Order: sequence, then structure tokens, then C-alpha cells
Amino acid sequence: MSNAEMLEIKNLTAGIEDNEILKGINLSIGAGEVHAIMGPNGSGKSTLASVLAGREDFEVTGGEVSFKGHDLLEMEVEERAREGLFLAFQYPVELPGVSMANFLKEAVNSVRSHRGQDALSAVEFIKLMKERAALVDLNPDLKKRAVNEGFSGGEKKRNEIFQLAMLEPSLAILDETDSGLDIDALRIVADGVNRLRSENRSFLVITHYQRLLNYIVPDFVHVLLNGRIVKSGGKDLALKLEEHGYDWIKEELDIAEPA
Amino acid sequence: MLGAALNGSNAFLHERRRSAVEEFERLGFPAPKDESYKYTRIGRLFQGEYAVDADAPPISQSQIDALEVPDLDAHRLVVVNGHFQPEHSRIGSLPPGVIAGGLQDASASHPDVLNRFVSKFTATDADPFEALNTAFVRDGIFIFVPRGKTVEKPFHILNLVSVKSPTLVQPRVVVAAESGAAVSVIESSVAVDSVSPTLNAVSELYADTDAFVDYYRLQLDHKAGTVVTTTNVYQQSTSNARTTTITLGGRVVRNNLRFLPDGEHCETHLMGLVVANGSMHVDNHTSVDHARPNCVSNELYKNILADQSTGVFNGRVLVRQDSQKTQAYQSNRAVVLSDDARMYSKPELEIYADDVMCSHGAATGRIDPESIFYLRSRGLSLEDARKMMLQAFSRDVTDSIRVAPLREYVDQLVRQRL
Amino acid sequence: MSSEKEFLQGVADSEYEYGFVTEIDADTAPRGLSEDTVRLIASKRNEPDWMVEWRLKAFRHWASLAEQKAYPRWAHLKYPDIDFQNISYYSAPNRKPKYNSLDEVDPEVLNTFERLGISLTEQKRLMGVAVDVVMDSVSVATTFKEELAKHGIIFCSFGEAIENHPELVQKYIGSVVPYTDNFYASLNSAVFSDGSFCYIPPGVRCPMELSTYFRINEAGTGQFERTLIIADKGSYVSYLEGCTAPMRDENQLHAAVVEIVAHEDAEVKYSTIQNWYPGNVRGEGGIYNFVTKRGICDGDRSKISWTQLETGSAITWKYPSVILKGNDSVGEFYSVAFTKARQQADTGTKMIHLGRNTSSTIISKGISAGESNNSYRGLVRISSKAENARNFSQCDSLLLGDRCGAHTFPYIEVNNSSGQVEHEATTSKVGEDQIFYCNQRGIGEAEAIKLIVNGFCKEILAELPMEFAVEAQKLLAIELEGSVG
Repeated sequence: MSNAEMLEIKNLTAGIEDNEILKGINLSIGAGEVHAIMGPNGSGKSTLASVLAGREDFEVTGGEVSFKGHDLLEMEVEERAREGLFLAFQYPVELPGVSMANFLKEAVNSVRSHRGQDALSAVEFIKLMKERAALVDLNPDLKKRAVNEGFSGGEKKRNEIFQLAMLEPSLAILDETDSGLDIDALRIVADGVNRLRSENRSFLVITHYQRLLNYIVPDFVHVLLNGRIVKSGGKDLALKLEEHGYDWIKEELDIAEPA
Repeated sequence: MLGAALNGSNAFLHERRRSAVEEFERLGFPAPKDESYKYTRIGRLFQGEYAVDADAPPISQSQIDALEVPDLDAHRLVVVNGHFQPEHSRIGSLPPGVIAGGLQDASASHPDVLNRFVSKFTATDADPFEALNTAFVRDGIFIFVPRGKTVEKPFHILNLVSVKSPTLVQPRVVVAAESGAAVSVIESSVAVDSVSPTLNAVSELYADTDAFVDYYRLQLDHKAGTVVTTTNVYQQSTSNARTTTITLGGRVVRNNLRFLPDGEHCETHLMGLVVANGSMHVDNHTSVDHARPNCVSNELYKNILADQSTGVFNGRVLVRQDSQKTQAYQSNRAVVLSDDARMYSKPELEIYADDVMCSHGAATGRIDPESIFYLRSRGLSLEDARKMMLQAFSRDVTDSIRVAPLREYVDQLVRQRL
Repeated sequence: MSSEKEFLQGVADSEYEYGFVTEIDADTAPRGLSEDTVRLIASKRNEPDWMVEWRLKAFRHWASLAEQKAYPRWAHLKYPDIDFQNISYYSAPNRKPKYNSLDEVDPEVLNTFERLGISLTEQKRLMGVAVDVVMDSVSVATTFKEELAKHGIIFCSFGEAIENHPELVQKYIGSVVPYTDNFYASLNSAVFSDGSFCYIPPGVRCPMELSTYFRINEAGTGQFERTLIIADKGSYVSYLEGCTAPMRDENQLHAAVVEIVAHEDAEVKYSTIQNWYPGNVRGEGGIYNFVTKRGICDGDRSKISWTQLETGSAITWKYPSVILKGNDSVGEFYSVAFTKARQQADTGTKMIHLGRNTSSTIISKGISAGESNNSYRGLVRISSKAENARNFSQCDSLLLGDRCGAHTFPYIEVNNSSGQVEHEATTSKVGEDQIFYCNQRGIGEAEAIKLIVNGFCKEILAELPMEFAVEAQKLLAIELEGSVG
């Protein structure tokens, strides 16, 4: 695939209690690349996102993950974030009473201090917020509100992309960011993401539907089935999936891998 | 001389009775400063002379039939002045192993079974009225459903009081469902042809593992009487216990309900409806002791208070230190219809575990004038609009009644009362 | 989440910052309480006969309660009976009981308050806050007196008020909290040593925040101050109170009384940051804080608002209340109570609705950590004459750790049909998913918990006057600091 490795997953297995969900994932993502992972419900898409972000509900039972040359699995959740891994949540959590401004100031300055940068001054910070909020057409009032509290579904998703813009990660994982969005909101979110694409920033877009990939055009598409990546290809693969569903792959597999 | 005491030759009951006498002597009737009787100064009602226990006077079959719940197909058990009346009862056929009948009889015929349940759950916060009942109880009802058995039809206990002079009547009901058993019990109490009746009733419900116990207490006409009831509910793991208390009569009514879900994954429901008028005083005092993790309790009480009536609600929810993942919800709502009616609410949440979801809400107010106006603008009379709103208010409770004819009947009674 | 555990442990154990002792000469009465003690206190303060008589009446009432051991026992608190004869009831931090200017104050005392972040001089002047400072039992300094006098505002120590404004003191003392009110109010009425007095004349909007700082310094003493605030017709005042005490391994008693009278159209806002020494991790030492605070909305359209941040004391027993007597009057209570280690708090409010169209709001946030117990106890009473009275109450509890307790005991009494009372309460813990979300944004456990706790308290902190809000946030942060931060 690519030379400059951002993320290298080797034979990763993980699950909850005795239930293995990821059964040997292999995936390489190069700098600046956009990868999409598609798969039916229960195939392990969100589990993969959670494991990469470090959610402790899942136990990693085997394999390796290196992120910009570091052993990702050894890192705490916040270390991964500070190192530049961002997860846009499928279900963003509400933090009652915690204002967006306070929350982001804490987050941005934690990340900056990790990178050896000075904390932003109040003025710089507000300027940055204003600028980045515009990227996803976020009402400036939203910043005064508590994190995700009373946000509509679409606002929550835009807020995730806004935070992505604020934290400037190296790798952004979008976990079904398109779910529950109407077409306008989807376009806004996708536009925001596209403007954040750069040669140093990679994306892992997890989705159920091909429609998001009309807006965020991926370099690679992978099909996740039953805890394994069973097929990889270009953006055309997504179209084929949309048209024919996943059954043809299952059939193909049955032939390719007889019981 | 009255009939023999309950214990007869039963040594266990004899011992329980003796210690209850001591306990009552120690506790006495609630003193004026007793916090748990803060809004119901009940002690003074027991200051006059009264007899303890009375024999059952003759009751005509038609008097009993008048108290039937229409269309209710049930195993009927009749109790008069605390004494089981087999000649008026219609128990019908029951699954094998099920015991249903007089407490006194059960004490003689099935002492081993009975002793497993009577007075087995004694709450930590001892209450004098429970002790008083245990000390002097003579008879009542015993219902036992063995392992895995379901009694399809509900039991209906008709609890009649008929006394010509101030008398303390003390029936006791013991309902036990072994593991996996299911039973519904309706206990309705009425005073007929009575002078100052005083009822001190105790019901003990026992739900073993996976058992289901659905219990309804209907408090109907009590002719200016004093009513104190105690309902103790003991639950083992994954059991489901429900109590519904409907209070429409009695001058002073105090209901103590105490729940101990003593196993994991128990489900507990407490529902209550009070419709009070005149100078009625109705005090519901509930306590749920979450002693084990992963249990759910859900409590809903509604009060409709007219004239000079008083409603009291005290709901204690205790979540002990290791009872993680407890979910306890409580809600108490009241509508006060006149300036002389009053409502006292005292929810108490005591929580010692951190991974819990607990909430309580209490609201007291009047019927929303806007809604009344809206209904009237659609052609309803003020009276009908009021009734409609109040019935809607009580519906959350009545709708939860699982026995359909009983639900109809209660709805009907509430409608009449309004 | 081991680091979360560690952090919470740290929170539970974190040290008290204001625990130093000031080495100064003090005039301290011998331990014990009798009529003679009461007379001694009065004579030290050169009080007039009427004051002495009032004290003695209070003492006799208290003595009869003490004899019957009629201590208030209904609160959700556990502590041994207090030996009232083993306490000194008077201590003045210098032999000179009164000061004409700050220059006369023992520099050690000034230094004490500097260390507490309370500058009695330049800094506060710049901030425009008038301060009365009470150390142990005596008011040591009141700033901005002349400035306030220009507006006709009286702001002085209680002692000076007795001397210079006896008619006001006589008229109002005990009018809201009578000396028979409760055990500790009786005790205070008998032995109170000083405190603050404030009178705002009709139509005057007090141009600055008034503030009292209380400090217990001497060992073996109790502190019994008394505050009286009178807001005359159409006036407004915002009043702040702060408290600290040294670390000692004995329990010290603080039994204060605050009375507020709001006349027609007057508004009083009373804010407290209570940070008395809470005792150590093992529950040794700390202040027993038994306080009676009550205001009366005497006139129509008057308003009294209590805001408190309670972080200190081994035991807090305190229910700032409002009697809503005037028609259309308003009562408010906003509270954050934070307990950790072995602290116990039983706090809340009483809203007594007497007048028509009166309304009250109660918002209480309890945060428990360590092995502490935190109870909300509140009474809302709508009397039969209080037509169209309204109350809204919300009590939320947040649990940090699994060995603490959070309890809610509301008492709701509605005596007429037009009253509307709503009460809501919730108990929850900081969610693991909330912490994960913060972590994923690069925020560490400790900071995440701080953010969430601050968010939880936000609507209360917003009620505090600006200068105080900053202080309050800092204090909360310190309380949460623990070993990690």
C-alpha cells in the first residue's frame, strides 16, 4: 500500500468477556489516506473504533497496532488522543453543565502541551473556535452551551467534526458519523471533513452506507465481515456493495474459504 | 371469653407472640414526637377504651355478595372481624399442593409450612402496630403456592369488620409463593354496621426465587374508623412483587409498606391511589430496602384530596453500600381540590452505593385551569371537565391493575367518588 | 480505571490549605458555661443591661434544654454528645478589644488574612468590597465604613451596633430567630461574642459587596457570632461570608446565627463560602458547624436569596431559610455541598410560604467523596393563606466513589388548593462514558472529573457574586485536587 505508515494493524483480536468480536484484523493506513470500512450490523466496525481509541470495555486478546511508530495498545486513552488519534463518536456523550469552551480549552491545551506548544491565550482560543466552528456551520452560540447537552442529533455530529478541527489530529476515526443525518447535515459534515483532509492527516471512515462515500471519497474501501476484513478495494467497491449488498461477498468467501 | 389465640399448640408462634408482646411494651403507641408518625398523630386515637378482638357476628350472604367485585372470577376467602369464615368462602379448585384458608386452621394442619413464613421478615425499624398484631392475632388467611405452581385466578380476601363498640380487629394475611410460583391476591376491607371500628391488619408477602406475587389492597368504606395496615414484602432473587393500595374509605388510614428485595435482580412495584373527601386522613408510608445489587424498584402514588381531607406520603428508599446497579424510581403526585385539604410529602432517598440510578419526584397542585377551560370550550360542563381531568390523573395507577375486572371496578368506584 | 480510583482516593484525602495557626496573644475565658460566663462575656464587651438580660433569658432556656439533653437528633449525622462545659466561650485575638483603624490591628492578624487571600487593605479597596473580619469571637476590622456611611449604610461589628444603634438592635435581634428557636440558637443567643451588623436605609442600593470573614484561631474555643442584616424599604444589598479555621485534632464548635429582615421591595442576597477545617482523613478534629440562618421577607415584593458553597467542617448542620410573609415575596436557596473523607453534612433549607403569590426556588447539589455522608434536608410549607404560592425544588447528588452516601429528605406540606409544588431529585455518579469521552479528547482523568463536577455545580456558582465565584471555583478545584492534580 503506502510507504509512510500512519496506522499498522496486525492480526488484531479483541472481544468482550469470552465473546471474540475482532478475529484478526490486518490494516495499514498511510499518511494522508482516507480509508473506509463498511460492513453489516454486528460485523465489528464500532468495536474496531473503540479498541483503537482505547475503550476498556473491550479486551485485546492478540495482535499489534502501531500508530506513527508507537505501540498504540500500550497507551492510555488520553495519550492516544494527545498523540493525535481522534474518535468521532457514534453516540456523543452529554456533559451537563460543562461548557464547550471550557471543555475544548482543556482538551486543546492538553494536546498542545503534549506537543511542546504553549497554551493558547484566551483571545487566540476564541479566535480559533470561531474559525473552526464556521467549518461545520456550527452556530457560535453552541460554544456557550454544555457539551452535547440538549443538542439535536445533527448538532452532535457536527460538534464532533468541530472538535476534530480544533484538535488537529493525525488520524481521525469517524464512527458512523453519517447515521441519523439528513442530506443537508450529511453534506455539511462531509464538507467539513474534506476541508480538513491533508497530506499529513489520515481518516478511517466507518459507515454502513455508501452515500457518505459520495461526499468523502475514500482511497480505499474495506469490507468487514464477522470480525475480519474480507475484501479491500477502491471506491468502486462501495458502489458495488450498495447495489448488491454483502451476500455476494459471503458467497465468494464460501468458495474461497471452504469450511 | 374469646376464641383461642393463634398459637394453640404451635411453639414457634408462641415464642413469636411472646417477644411481640415485649416489643410492643417497649415501643408503645407512637409518641407525639415520633418522626415516622409526624403527620399522623395516631397515638391519641388509641387512648380511649376499646376491646381487643371480637367474635364474628352473623353476616348474611347478601351482605357479602354486595361486596363482590363484578365479573371477578376468584377464589373467595371471607374474614369477619379477623376470623376466617369457611361457610361464606368459595375457594374452588386449586392446583395440587396449594394451601388456602384460615390461618388458625393452617397453624394446626400445616404448622411446618406456616412457620416458615409467619413473622419471618421483621423490618429493622420496628413498628408498634405490627408488634401489636403479632402479639394478639387470632386468625386470618394463609395462602401458600408451592414451587413452580401458578394459581390462574386471583384470590379475593373479603375482610369485613362489624363491631358494635370500639374494638381493635387484627386480621393477618400470609401469602407465600415458592420459587417459580405465581399468585395474585386482592384484599378488600369494609366495615359494616359498625361503631368506631379499629382495624390493625398485617399482611406478609413472601416471593421466593423467580416467584411472582401481585397484591392489591382495597380500602373501601370504613365508617369513621381507624385503619392501620402493615404490608411486609420479602423477595428472593429475580422475583417480582407488586403491591397496589387503593384507599377510598376510612377516617384515619395509615398504611405501612416495607419491602426487602433480598436477592439480586428483583423487581418491585409499589402503586397507590388515594381519593379522600370529608375529614379523611390517609397516610401512606413506604420503605424499600435495597439490600442487594441489580434490583429495580418503581413507586407511583397519586392522591386526590377534597374537602378537609389530608394526604400524607412518606417514601423511603434505602440503597445499601454494596447494592450497585440499583434502579429506584419514586413519584408522588397530589391534586388538592379545596383550600382546607392538605398534602404532606416526605420522600427520603438514602443512598450509599455509587453506581445507581435513583430519582424521586413529588408534585402537588391543582387541576390545570387551562385544561379545564379547554374542555369547557369544547362543550363539557365544569363538573365533567373536572372529573375527566381527575380520572386521567388517577389512570396511571388504575391502568397498572393487572386483573381486568378489578381495574374496571376501581375505575368505577373512583368515578363515583369524584 | 485505576487512575480514576487513585484520583478519587486523592480527592477523599486531600489536605486542608488554611490549617495554620496564628501566634498571637489572646484573651480567652476559662472553659465552662454558667450565668457567670454569660455575664463575663457581656462585661468584657461593656454591654447595656437590656442585652445582658436577653442573654440571660436565652441562657436559662438553653440550660433547661441541655439538662434534658434535648439536642436536635433528627439530622442524618453521627457524633458523640458535646461536652459544653469543656469549651471556652470567649476568645479575643488581642487584649485590645476595639480598633479605630487598621493600623492598630496586630500585624499577625492582618498577615493571617493575607494568607487566606483576604486583603483588608489595598486590594479589597480596589475590588470594591467592604469587609468585616471576625477572628475567634471578635470583629477585628471593618473596612469602607466611611464610604458606606455616606449612603446612610451602617456596616459594623455587632458590638459597635449595640453601642451605637441600640434601638435597631433591640428591635430586630431575635425577631427572625428567637432565642427559643433551637438548641444551638439558644446557646448562641446566650454567649454570642460578636459578628456583623448591617442596615441599609430605605431606597438605597448598597454600592459595594459587604463581606464578613470568620476565622477560628484559638484552641479549645467555640465561635458564636451573630449577624443581623436589615434591608429597609426598597433597598438592596449583597452580602458575602467566608470562614476558615486552623487544623486541630479536637472538634471545635461553631454555632452562629444569621438573621435577615427584608422590608417592602427590599432585596438581600447572602452568599457563603464555608471552608472551616473539616478534620483529617481519619475523621479526627474539625469544626462542628451548627448554624441557624433565617431571613424574613417581611414586606410585599421583598426577596431573600441564599447561596452557599459548603466544603468545610467535620459536621455541617445548617438550613438557611426564608419566611415568605409579604405578598409576592421571593425566596431562593442555591447550594453546593461537597463532602469528603469522613465529613458529614446535613444541610438544606426551609421555605415557609405565608403570603399570597409567594414563590421559592431550591436548587441543591450534593457531591460526596471518600467515606462522607451528604444529606439534603428541606422543608417547603405552603400555609392555607398562601394563595397561588409556588415552589420548585431540584436536588441532585453526585457520588465520587463507592463508600460515600448521598441522601435526600424533602418535607413538602401543602395546605391549600392553589399552591403548586414540584420537587425533583436525582442521584448519579460520574459516568465512565463521560470520562472516556474526555480522555479521548486528550483530557486526563483528574481534569475530566474536575470538569464534570464543575459542570454539575455550574448553575449554583453562577449565582455567586463575581469575586466570590472565582474564589469558589478555586476552592472546589483545590478540594478536588488530591494527590494527582
